[in-house]
Amino acid sequence: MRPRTLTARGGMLLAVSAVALVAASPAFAQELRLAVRASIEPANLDYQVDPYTSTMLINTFMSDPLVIRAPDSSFVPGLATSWEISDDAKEFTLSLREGISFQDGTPFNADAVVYNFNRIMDPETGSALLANQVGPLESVEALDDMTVKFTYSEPWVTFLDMATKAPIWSPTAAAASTPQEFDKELIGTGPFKLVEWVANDHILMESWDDYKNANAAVELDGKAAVDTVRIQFIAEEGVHGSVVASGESDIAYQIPALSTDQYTDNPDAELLSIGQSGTGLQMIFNLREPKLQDIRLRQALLHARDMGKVNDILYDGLYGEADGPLNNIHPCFWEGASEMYPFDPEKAKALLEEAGWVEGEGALRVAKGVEGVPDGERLELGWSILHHPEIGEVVQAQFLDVGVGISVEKVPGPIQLERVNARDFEIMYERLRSPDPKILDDIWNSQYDYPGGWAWTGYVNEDLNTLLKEVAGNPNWDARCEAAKSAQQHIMENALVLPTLSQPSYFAVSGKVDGFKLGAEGTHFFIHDVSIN
Amino acid sequence: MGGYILGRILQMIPVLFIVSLIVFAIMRILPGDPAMLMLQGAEGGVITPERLDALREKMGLNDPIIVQYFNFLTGALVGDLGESIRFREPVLDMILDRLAPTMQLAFAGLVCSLIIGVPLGMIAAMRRGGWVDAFTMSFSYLGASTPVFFLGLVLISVFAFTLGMLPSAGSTGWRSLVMPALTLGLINAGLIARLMRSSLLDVLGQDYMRTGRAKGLPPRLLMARHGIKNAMIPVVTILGLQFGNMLAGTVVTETVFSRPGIGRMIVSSILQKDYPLIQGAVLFLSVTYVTANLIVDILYAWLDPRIRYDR
Amino acid sequence: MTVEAVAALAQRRPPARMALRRFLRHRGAWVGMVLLVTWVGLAIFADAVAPYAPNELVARARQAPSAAHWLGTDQLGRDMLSRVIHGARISLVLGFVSVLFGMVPGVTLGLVAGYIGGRVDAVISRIIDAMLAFPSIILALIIIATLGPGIVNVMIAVGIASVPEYARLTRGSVLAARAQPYVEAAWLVGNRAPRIMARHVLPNTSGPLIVFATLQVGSAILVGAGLSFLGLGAQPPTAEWGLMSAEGRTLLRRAWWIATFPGLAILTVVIAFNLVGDGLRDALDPRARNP
Repeated sequence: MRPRTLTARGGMLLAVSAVALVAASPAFAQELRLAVRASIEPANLDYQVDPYTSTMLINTFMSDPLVIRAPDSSFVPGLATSWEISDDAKEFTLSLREGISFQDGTPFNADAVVYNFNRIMDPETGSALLANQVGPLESVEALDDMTVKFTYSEPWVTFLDMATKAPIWSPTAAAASTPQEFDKELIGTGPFKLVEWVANDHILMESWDDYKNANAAVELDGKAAVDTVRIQFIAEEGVHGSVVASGESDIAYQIPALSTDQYTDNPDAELLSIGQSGTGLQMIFNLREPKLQDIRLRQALLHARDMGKVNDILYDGLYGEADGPLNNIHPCFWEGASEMYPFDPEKAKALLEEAGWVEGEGALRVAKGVEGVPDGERLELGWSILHHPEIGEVVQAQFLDVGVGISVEKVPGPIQLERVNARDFEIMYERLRSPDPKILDDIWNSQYDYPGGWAWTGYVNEDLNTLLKEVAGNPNWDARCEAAKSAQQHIMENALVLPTLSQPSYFAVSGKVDGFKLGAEGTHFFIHDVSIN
Repeated sequence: MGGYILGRILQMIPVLFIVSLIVFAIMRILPGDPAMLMLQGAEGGVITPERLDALREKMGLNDPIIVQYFNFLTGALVGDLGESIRFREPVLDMILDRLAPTMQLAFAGLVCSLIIGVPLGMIAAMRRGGWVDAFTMSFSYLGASTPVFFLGLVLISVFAFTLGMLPSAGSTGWRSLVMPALTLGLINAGLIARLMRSSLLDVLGQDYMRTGRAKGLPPRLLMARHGIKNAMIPVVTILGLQFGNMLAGTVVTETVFSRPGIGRMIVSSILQKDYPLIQGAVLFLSVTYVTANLIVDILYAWLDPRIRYDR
Repeated sequence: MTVEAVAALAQRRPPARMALRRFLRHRGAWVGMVLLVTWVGLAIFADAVAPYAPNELVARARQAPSAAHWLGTDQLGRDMLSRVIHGARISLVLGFVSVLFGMVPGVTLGLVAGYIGGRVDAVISRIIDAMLAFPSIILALIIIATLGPGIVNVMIAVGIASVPEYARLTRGSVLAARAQPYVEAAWLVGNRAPRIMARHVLPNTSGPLIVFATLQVGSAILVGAGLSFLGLGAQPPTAEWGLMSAEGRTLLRRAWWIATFPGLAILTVVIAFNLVGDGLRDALDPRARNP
């Protein structure tokens, strides 16, 4: 307990019970209360182990990464002050920031970086995702005390993106623990120290007295203005959407679109929003299914949907557009995707007739001479998603107008994986989020069509693979982006995907909060400079 | 009495063995590959088959089923329930971490249902046939027929958002316990009220009460001294069973009020297909449940020597 | 009401006509019957009564109750009244079918165990005990996890989860019935086991079974709603009340009617089953009165 709490309210506090004392104290110390959806609570609080974006975000409060993605999406110095990239994008040499130490007092240096990357790649750590993002790393070595060099066996164009994600922990502390236990005692270089993590409830951090700025995107240098940060995980969406309005939280991260009306005309709070570049909430077709092998059916489905209307009905038009395999805010979005399949039920019907799907006795069309489909079979397709079932429900009504049925099925993650691995699905939700176009390669390059890979659609085309190889391997950003656009055009022309909408991140921020800064992406923000009035 | 207790405890052994078999078998049938789950993230990147296989090996998923069961069982006997796939922590630690909040909730819910139910039942019995009685009985039906999640959300809407009196989420401090306990309490108070009412009506008709009245004891004293005490016996004996109900009720309540707890952990472990965690938690809960029922049975037998649950 | 208490009814079943008379005099039972008949009627004639099809997008989404849409429209713009009416069909079927799924295997097991006795009884009893060792919601949860979510699977899960209770209840009644002189007499005059069971034992156990099953219908609907809340129950666009209420809950502050009306529908139908169940119990056993 902080002494000034006692002096300020000492007389009164003596009169109340110990329980009330404990409950009341954080209200007097400056506490930043952050509300986060329980569905994205980490399983392990160390992103070197855990695969979730939320884990990465929370880690940045406790440890600044090597490189920072600034709000304008540029890379700016973090623990590394500068970097040199070889022309073939195989060697990365980083100069490290001087005078930084970890929260346990041990110095930050090249050896610490080497230790951390060895830890990430060590199979014993069991890194779920970061090891993949680090990629085909051949070696990481300390050239001197403050210079570290990464060498790759093949071009690794997403190196800097990865360097914004990898948390750097105190080697002394990490070595003294196990990957299982260390996530309760994380020691980084960041402004906040982990106090406790009560799973399914909250994470408590306190500001670190000796923080030195290692993050060019923020101003803080020294102890943070708030004394503690409490991240409360909230299981009910509706509740999560209202906690800033009710004064229970200072910032609510990723509230539902339909809760935002509580903040639009609210003098005590502010509504911020930012998109998440990536694929959007896209639905991919399984081309192994006989019905879906015919491009005319796929094109018909694209013409039969009116995503603008879906957006209006469900989200007051607040969701973002996603017209192609990358969403419209993605830096490498191909604009041609927006005009390719306008809402046109008549055209959809004509395409369906052409493909052999004729009107039947019921509301659904039936097969008549469709290859691989027995005559008389009704045109009904499975629509499997992890969340946002409501989009499927509206699309369901729209498709019904042209005689196509879809059965919307919300499946838990494990069931989705099982289906995908057995390639047993028709239309499946598949979303990846990143401002880097490499995600196109992951999803559409048929070389990743094996269990564990992300290439689920079953589409094999060497032209597309060549384009994607360029996307994944060319060190030149512009060339990659161009290749990505061509790849998107190819994907859309072949109607391999049914794009829907893109989910923006909404933040409700109390008027008492100063210095809150959004990141470049909806999955990231900065609380270094936050103070509470 | 001693023989009866011993007999009941011995009967638990085959039961628990079958329970372990059922739990283990069901977990094997569940769809999904736990190793894949561990590796697949939300951001992309490719998982190689080699990495997948190495992880499967490490997790013991490549062993024959019998070996896996044997490992599970021998571990469980010494308190080692394995390690959660998703959380990579010992299952027993995870259960123990969440045991306290669940028990607090179940206990507080029980207390709530008693505080509401017992007085209501008493008043209803004493004013039998009047509007209080009618109200109490309607209330008891309402409580038992409302979906738990709906009641919880209504309470949040009123007490957290409209009145701003209580926190809507979390488990820090006693205030966060009020609404979840009230939710469980309201759902179960009706049962207690009805039981209390009929039991008190029973007692009021007993000879010793009539004798007391005939002897001119003040009604209030008579009620306090003999009536309530005797009427409480069936209420107390049903508490064990109620506690089981409460545990079940926590599954939904913990989600609505964003509290940590065993029920919520089981739900999410099922969704994540976290084999060892489901196995361990369900086994743990079953053992607790069986033990609670055993204690209740023994209590019954002790309170009422006529009852023997001979099989 | 515990299973034992219901089982205890078996020995003291009064003649049917007396029971009917007592049932008709039961005020609560009348209220329950009226509610129930209303809901069943709505369920049967849903297509005629409901102004719209349940899954049709008929108007702007999230409209408050009005003359055009008495209960408002939901998050997609479907007519809430039509969905609640059609939901009666689904929720009632869910309740009855779950009970059937629990009762048939449960009663069979209980009859076999209670009547044959000996080693068969010992084995069945241990299995029943093992199943009873899971709180029923947990048992339902793991069955759903195995079968996957969906309304049919909910019926199976809720049904199976109640199998041990039916089995225990039946077994208890059978044991009681077997001790009756008329069963012994039937055996002595040469009636074979299946016949005795069908003729004498089963009818004698039906009273407590009917009571228990009636109460179970209500609780199956409640459990089904709870599973929908957890995302493991009925799938969209099914007009199942639990799912409707669960889907609307995010909007509780903005469009209260979406979650509230299906919630009230659940409430009334479960109350109806509880009232009727209690009425039946009182009618079948006046001494176990618990009004």
